[in-house]
Amino acid sequence: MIMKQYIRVYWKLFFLNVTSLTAYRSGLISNLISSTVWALFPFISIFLLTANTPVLFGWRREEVIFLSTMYAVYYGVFQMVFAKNFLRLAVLINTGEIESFFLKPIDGQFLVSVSRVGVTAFVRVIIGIGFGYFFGKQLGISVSFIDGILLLIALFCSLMLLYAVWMNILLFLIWNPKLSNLVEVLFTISGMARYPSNMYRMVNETLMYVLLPLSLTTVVPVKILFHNISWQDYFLLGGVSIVLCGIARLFWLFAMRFYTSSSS
Amino acid sequence: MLYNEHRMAISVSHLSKQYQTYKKEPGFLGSLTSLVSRKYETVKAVDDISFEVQEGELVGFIGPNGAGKTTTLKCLSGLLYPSSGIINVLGYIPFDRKNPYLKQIALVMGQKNQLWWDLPAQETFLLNKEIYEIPDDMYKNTLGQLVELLDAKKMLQVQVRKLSLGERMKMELIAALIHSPKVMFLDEPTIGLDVVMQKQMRDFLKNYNELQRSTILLTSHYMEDVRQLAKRVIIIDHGKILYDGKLDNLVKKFASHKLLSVVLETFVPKEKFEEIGTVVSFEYPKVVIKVKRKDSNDAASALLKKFPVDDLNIEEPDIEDVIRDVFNSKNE
Amino acid sequence: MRYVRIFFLNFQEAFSERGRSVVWFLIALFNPLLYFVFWYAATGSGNHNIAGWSIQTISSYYFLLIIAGSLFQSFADEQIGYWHIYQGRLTNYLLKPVSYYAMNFISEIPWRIIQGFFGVIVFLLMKLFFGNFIVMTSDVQTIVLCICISFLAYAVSYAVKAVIGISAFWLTDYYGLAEGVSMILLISGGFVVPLRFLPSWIEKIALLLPFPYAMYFPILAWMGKLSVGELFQVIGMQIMWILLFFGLFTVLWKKGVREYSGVSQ
Repeated sequence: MIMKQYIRVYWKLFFLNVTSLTAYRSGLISNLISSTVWALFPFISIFLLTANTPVLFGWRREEVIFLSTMYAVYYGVFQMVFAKNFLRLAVLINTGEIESFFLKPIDGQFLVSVSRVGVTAFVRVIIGIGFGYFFGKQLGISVSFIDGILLLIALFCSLMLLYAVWMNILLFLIWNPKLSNLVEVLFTISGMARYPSNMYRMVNETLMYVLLPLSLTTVVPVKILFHNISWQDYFLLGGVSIVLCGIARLFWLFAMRFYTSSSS
Repeated sequence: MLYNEHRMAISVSHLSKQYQTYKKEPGFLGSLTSLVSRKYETVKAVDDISFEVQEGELVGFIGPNGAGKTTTLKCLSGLLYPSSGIINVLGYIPFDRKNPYLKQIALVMGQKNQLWWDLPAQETFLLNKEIYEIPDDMYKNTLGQLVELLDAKKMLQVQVRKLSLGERMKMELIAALIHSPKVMFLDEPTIGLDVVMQKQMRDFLKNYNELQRSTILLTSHYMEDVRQLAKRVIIIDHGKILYDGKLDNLVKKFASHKLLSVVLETFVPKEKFEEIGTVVSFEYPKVVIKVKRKDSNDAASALLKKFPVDDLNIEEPDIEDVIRDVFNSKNE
Repeated sequence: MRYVRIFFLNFQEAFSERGRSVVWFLIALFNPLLYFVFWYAATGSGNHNIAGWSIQTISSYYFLLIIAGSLFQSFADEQIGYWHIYQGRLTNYLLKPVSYYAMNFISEIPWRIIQGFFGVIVFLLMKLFFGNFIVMTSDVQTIVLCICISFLAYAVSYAVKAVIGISAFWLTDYYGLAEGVSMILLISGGFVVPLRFLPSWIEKIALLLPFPYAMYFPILAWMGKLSVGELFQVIGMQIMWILLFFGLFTVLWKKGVREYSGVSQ
């Protein structure tokens, strides 16, 4: 019953976002251009970075690029579902508009996290799938039905892991709403998931473990397709995403007690 | 749930809310100094207030800027966690923000909006319908009623960004009331509106309160809002309640004088007016005289007889002055 | 005198917002560090060269990029396009007897200085702990010219971004254009890889654009990779781009102000 309500509300929100976007054609075009640019940029930068190096930290160039496609797909979904809301979170806290979410008979964290949909970010997903298909063929990857199911589950865990990381960091805005530009830092940090964890290990083992949650989000789905995944990888990704999501939820509830609200 | 409709809708007991702020000296040196040394101070936004509101009452909650009105409303609606005290609204503890509670209240703030900017307001209403789980027929009836009361039919299909401030306020009210709340917290709902729109808002709130028997707590620093709507007022200043009672008694008790504002046809010396009352200001052709409330009619007649008057108005003292008087009398 | 006042007022504001400046600086810090980590790993922990550059040269480039990213990169497009034109705050500036271009130029300098300061701190720490990885010029004449190039680098970045910003007079949502230009800037300015590492046809195109003169060449100058003659060439090109984009701004500004409708909030 409750699930049904949340689905109906989300469906309504999705519809509102699409309608809002199409209200202004120039805005729609601008958003599409922006999404396309940022969808292509990671691939362009990987192409440029690997132009002079066919093998990097134990990975072939095509494998590193394939890793990027996995990133593009789940990050594209993240951009669609969550990113706009995080961008808005600082403004909502600063102006006090977040209060309107607290007064609705529906979970505030749910509303704050999903009210805005980055509809045009589907371009990222399409481009990611396109490049993934192309480089997958080059690498001779075949995907069975079971692989597909496991991949979807892994991508879902990756999505929730990334959501939890962002939420845990951005909730500090409750205490310091001025630091709204933290979101921009998170965009940068999230990009670190494009690279294999071996890269960080070669510099410093500690660095690898610090960035492990992020690198898991792409490495595990890719390993599924490369058919060299272990149960440890599954549990690591699943376990880390569940733990971080749990922390995000508890932190949200804790932070809301401290929300001091802007004046009238 | 403990709520009984024969009892109070709102009960506040020894509510307090404090904030920490810091002061910075102006200038570049002040900026550098604030790096190493900062003076923090505790601000008591609400300081040990208690009051009760019955079901169906419309109470005016007034005070100057920074008095603690909005903070109180936010504590009552569950947005802010009180530093101390007990609040009970419809049998619930507001800060628990339980869904059954949230379905029965509404908070409307004059300067803030929940409408989607690029879409007609109707889309936001439909979203709220889903969120509040309002059945279709109930939604239709409530929307029809609200649209009629606010004369807002033409605005339903217009993008919110294209509406004027007053029209937007009407849509905000509809969005906030679409779920027929039992308790409404209105924080300066007429702020920034022109006089025509202010009157429309007041008429709507009056009619709505009578029709729905909803409990309304209204803050404003426009005296006219309170005069037109509320029989009972609570005056708050510096976080403390200075007066809680009937509006008539407030005006009779504390606003002991009235102001006669006169525009003269020809010059008359200031001293002549001292016979009538105390001259508050004298800038020819305008003169303002303060007289005792009970003598205001006689004083007005005397002015019209004795002096070449072009225009005469009998005015109530400004609400800020009334509140100041209330505060001063409490200090004494 | 009023521009001096504007400078100090903005310095005060930037100082009070130093938390935000730290966060902006983190963005300028993470990306070059990430690329450094990439190249360190790609060169087998510094054992190989890439396109004739040793790990010392590569690391010097990216560590200097940390400072350059904070010090030289203007955000005038967002300030002008979004905050002033789109939000309607331009009205305040149109009514003031002061050059809008100059005022914005000077207003941003304190922010660049404060974020650049963080970059310098990080750079000095890197020099202290990883001195082997950093190569910089120590020639006095070169340093003087580098200071001049650095200031002009900011001016080039500002001139280009200001023109992008005023496109908001005509585009209700100018972000698409701004982000398209951002991508070109990141690649041709040498943010991702030094231009030398690019395929030659991309490098040739990049050198035709103003962006290398806002980032890439100033970094090479500080690394001591340019001769005195080349340094003067860079200065000449920077002045040329500044004048070109300033001219374009002036023409577009006159037209744009007529279009401006001062949307209320």
